[in-house]
Amino acid sequence: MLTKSSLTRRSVLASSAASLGLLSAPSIVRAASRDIRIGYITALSGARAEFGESDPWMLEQVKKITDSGLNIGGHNYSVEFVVKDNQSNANRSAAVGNELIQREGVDLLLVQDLDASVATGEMSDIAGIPSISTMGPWQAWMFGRGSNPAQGFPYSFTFFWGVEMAMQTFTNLWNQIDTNKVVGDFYFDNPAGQAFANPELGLPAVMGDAGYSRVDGGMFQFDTQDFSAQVSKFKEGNAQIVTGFGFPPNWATFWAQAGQMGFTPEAATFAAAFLFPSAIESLGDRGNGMSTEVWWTPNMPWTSSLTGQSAAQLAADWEAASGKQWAQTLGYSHALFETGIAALKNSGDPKNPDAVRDAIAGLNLNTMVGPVNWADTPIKNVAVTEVAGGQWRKTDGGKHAFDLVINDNGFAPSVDVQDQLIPLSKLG
Amino acid sequence: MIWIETLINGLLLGGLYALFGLGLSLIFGVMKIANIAHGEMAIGGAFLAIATANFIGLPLVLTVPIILLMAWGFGFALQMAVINRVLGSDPMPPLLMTFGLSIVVQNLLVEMFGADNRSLDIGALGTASIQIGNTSLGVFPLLMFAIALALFGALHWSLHHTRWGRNLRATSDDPEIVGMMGIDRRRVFAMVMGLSAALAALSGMMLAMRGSITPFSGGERLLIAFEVIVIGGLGSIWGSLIGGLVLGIVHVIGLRLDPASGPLYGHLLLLVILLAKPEGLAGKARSR
Repeated sequence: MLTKSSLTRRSVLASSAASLGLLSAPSIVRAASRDIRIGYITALSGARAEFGESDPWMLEQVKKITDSGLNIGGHNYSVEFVVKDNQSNANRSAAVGNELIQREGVDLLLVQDLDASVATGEMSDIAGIPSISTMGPWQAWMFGRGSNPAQGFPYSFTFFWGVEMAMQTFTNLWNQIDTNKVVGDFYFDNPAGQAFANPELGLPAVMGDAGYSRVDGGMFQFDTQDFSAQVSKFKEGNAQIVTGFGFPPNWATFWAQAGQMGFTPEAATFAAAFLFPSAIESLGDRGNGMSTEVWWTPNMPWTSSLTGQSAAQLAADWEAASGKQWAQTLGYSHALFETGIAALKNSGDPKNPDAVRDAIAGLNLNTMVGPVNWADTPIKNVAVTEVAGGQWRKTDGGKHAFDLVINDNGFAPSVDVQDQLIPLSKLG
Repeated sequence: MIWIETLINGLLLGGLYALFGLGLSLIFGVMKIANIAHGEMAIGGAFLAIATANFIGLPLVLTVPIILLMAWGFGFALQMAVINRVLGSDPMPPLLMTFGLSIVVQNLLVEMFGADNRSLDIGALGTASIQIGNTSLGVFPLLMFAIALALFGALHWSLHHTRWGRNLRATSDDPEIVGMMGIDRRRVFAMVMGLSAALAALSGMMLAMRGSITPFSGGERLLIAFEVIVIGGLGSIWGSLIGGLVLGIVHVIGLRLDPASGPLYGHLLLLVILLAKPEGLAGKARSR
């Protein structure tokens, strides 16, 4: 028969549970305080590190405004940002999202990465913590999580353009040059890549409607180090245009092998890979003429609702502070903070998640990337923004090695077209 | 035509795979242990090269030999200071030891370089090509393949025609007896580990010149190295070459038929070999 000792398994479990309860108690106390905690998830390292490169700087600019606190409903609330790097990784995104919601007890989640917004959107809906995300086509964000424009989501919101806008911009670009209208396409296998590759709604359908025939290069996995299969397929099919979706390292490997194997298309329009000047510069002279979707440029006529800066000023400030060329992510990274802070202010009670959620749903704000309007959108929880088409051109000893020239504004009426697309063979 | 091109591209990729397998195969052949840190040694070497070439600005022709020497020294010291101590009749301690090392190296790399993709820039060589008939082939993949073949040849020659090679083969045959002949097996082991680390660093640098790497690339490379030596035949040098070439061809043909398959067909090949010919393709020609 067992003797009763003072330290049985049950008593240890019970007392440790009790002490854990005590340890977590401060978060309950904190919930009633006047401190707003904003969780910010971004990709500071990994394949999409460049998307988050300007974020630490942007955060400093925003903190200058929020350091004195936000005056909401007659009370002064202090604001604290908790920044987490998701390392461009879906699993890590889920882990940091969980950490921010469960352990840090944030009042609002701002998410600047598609992998992260797909992973944390679910958590935000379940935990009842409002979240705003951007930098991912809304279809990937919505359909990837099993919802639709009529249904929406309870607590998660996004603002960005849709894949169909970028894709029609691509065909608009190609229509500007003479080709045999044969396109080789291949896609990175992630939510955004799947949205682009979708046979009914994605690029294959859009290209078909626009009269382009297709050489299917399929989807590729994360660690693919050899694209010779795609190159020889495109070469065999006599494709004069290459398109698809992927990141700079993927394109760099593909483009080097294309060079080795003598594949010379007239246009290379690869979504996501050509957003940043650094990706173009790393290709050397062979980066000249790459064409891309354009999210944001300093030429856009918008101003910040937070700082009053114009788009051109924001770009100039970043270039002065970093010594680097402006990047398209600047506008969206800034607008993400704009929408978050506007929603907290409009809520009247930023510590009440439902009030903040309603404030986001009712927001119609003019931001650095143009109007972000959730108040009257046909697509629930989604505010659609502009996207243009452009081409990187080597400058002749200019301020930057390459400049982004706008070629199409079909879905971005606020920005002016600067020149037509030039075929790669004419750029040399 | 397109299939010939695919086949050649597979062979060229296979040369790099074979080089990954060679270092691991050497260790296995001589010490009868598996070095789990082999992938991290390759990636670590590549990152050191990236740091030297990109941050310090040393030209690549100088960087590569310096990194090879450093890798050799690292392997030698590692064996002398650590692995020799745990080497015995039980294969578990050295296995766990190298497993631990792989985790330490990987996390050190993340700490120092972050999780970003990085590559070694080889400039115009990266896209240079030569035309053979209707097929154009990259100069750099051909160069890598030639280097791999030359290394296999040199290793084979030195194993059979030098005193060092004879000591090594004798140690592989019976590490207890060679002691009586005045050979210090701990030193022989250390030489082999140094050589293996240098081969790993070379293949890692080639990988970084060909595409890009992250600190997490090591695990996947180790898998390829293991597949190479199992397909080819454990502990056999020429088995590694055959295994590498076969795996390269299967990978490229698999990607050609089904681009989304990734490394699937290589894994399937491994399964088939394990079922049909567990001693590997060159199993009879084992060095032991």
